[in-house]
Amino acid sequence: MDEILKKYKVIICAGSGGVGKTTIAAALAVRAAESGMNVLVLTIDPSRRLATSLGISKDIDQDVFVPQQKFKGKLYAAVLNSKKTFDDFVMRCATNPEVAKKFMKNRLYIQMSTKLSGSQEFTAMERLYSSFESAKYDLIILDTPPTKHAVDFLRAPQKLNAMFTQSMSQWLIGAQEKSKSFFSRFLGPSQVFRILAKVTGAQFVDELVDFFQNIQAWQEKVGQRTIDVHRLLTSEKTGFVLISSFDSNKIEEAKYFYKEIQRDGHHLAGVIINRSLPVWGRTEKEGPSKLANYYEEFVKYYSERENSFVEFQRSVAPGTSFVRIPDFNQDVSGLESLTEISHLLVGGRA
Amino acid sequence: MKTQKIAFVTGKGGTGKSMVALSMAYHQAVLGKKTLLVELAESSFFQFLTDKIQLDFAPQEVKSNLYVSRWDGATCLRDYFLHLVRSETLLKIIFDNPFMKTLVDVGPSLSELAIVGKITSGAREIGPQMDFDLIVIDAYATGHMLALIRAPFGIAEAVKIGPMATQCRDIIKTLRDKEVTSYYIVTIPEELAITESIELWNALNLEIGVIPKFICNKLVMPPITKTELIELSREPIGEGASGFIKFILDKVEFQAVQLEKIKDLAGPVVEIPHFLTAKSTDLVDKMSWYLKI
Repeated sequence: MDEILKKYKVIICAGSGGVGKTTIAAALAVRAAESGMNVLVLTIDPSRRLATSLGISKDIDQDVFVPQQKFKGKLYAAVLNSKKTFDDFVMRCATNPEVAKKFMKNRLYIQMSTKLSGSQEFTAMERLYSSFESAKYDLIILDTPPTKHAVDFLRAPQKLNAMFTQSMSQWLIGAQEKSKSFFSRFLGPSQVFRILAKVTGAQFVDELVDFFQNIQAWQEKVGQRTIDVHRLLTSEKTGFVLISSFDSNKIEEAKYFYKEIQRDGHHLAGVIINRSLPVWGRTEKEGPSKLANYYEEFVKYYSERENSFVEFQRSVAPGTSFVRIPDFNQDVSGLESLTEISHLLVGGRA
Repeated sequence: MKTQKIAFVTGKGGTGKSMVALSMAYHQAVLGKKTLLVELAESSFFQFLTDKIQLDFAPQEVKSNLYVSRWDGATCLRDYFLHLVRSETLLKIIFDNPFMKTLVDVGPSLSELAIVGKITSGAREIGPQMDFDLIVIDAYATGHMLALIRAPFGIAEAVKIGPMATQCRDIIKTLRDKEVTSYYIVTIPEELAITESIELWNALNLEIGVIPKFICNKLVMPPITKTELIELSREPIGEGASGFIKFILDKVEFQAVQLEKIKDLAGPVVEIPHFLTAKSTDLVDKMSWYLKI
């Protein structure tokens, strides 16, 4: 894992929900700082205790120098504040800040920004890119938002871009212009509006048109940003670390994700299997008498996953590092326990 | 006609909420209730239940009394529009337009509103009706679940007059009616999951005024008591064996601490063991025993 930390400028910790991405991201950052780098870890939703030990919170929008660190390098951390990141982006896009400020009070904008920032994919990318652009760090480690499928995260920017680039906005705005030729050329719009107004009420349609007229201004900027982010994510500078738990569904998911990122031209740097069975389970044959059956079931359960894991490992390109982190049975949050994990990441067996 | 009941099953990703929703629906179906299990997802998780039928918008019977259906914003909206305009041709004009697709994708909360409108349509007796005693929703994870439930509240506030406003108020009434709608938060005995579940419980409770029930999944339940475990751990046995006992004992203790937090908040919790079986179909059978709700 040490090599990975040196090789890339950006490391993206991907994986489906509930596999311990945030903790692993933090542990990787600790290791990077230990080996003398200036590193930033961008977390999405850290547990309260992890946030406390990193000295970060949702209300602090800046990168924080993690307190009480004794590393050779410097460890910075931040929590993604989606609403703020999104508003900042809108302000930067606007040609006229006054208009932007007014628009931000639009009720539909508030709803949309909550939805978009609530989904976090866009804002995570935006925050990553602006940190990267600032060139303040040797390495940025991004913890990704909790998605049902790890791939959803990668698809988000394209999805957003599609929403702006599809002819839809122009189409809608065009429909409101008092141009007779327009209506005579297209029958659709007026029909759609009539039906929409019937179902939702005229007030809603008015608000909607106003809303889309406003966001049209961002179209070009969002498009450019999407391209920039995509370029960064597919470049040699960015490595993906796939995190999975020791669970057959998650391992299947990891296989699928691996295929997808290969196809999209991203680089897989490593695979971390979190919460595997501690070593005793694989080496000892006999369980204690009263628990014998239960022990057997437990070991069988894990060895089934072991097989599927080994199969996955074989299918991945050689040179990709594989690491296992055993089930710790406790909450990992302090800098010390993160350091412990980071050592497992480096020296861990595969 | 009896009112159609609604059960929302939500929870953090990775807690096994889909399996819980399925087991819950399965149990009700076995009891003789005509049950519809709805998944809100872009692709079907429940497809493994049947290799004969492709699961999609229209409910399909997968077991006696148990129907499965997959909904998203676009299909729900389409369904509702068809009910209003009653013309496939008009519907085509609207939905074949790129405008509509984008509108549903980003149009503030429209997608969520369409879904929650469809979910409550039976109870409200509005829109196309479906003949079921119970609808179990395998709903979104935490944040998206809140967005779903908040949609009618947000729109009712933004749009005060017109048919949409009236409907929103109606939906809200149904979502708040504890005789009709119940909420289940699936969690696992881990710090992060428990914290997130508590936040979700508080948000649903404060904003919507409902009282969700907790279901704690994947609890390690050894066949002997904790006292026996402690005794065992003191016996001189092989290193590997004592490692296992310590692992289980630690787990049991850690779990108890986590469980206590949600019990303090919401009272009794439905506890489901971590089944050491790989097959999904076996799992449903076993799990449904614990879900006699």
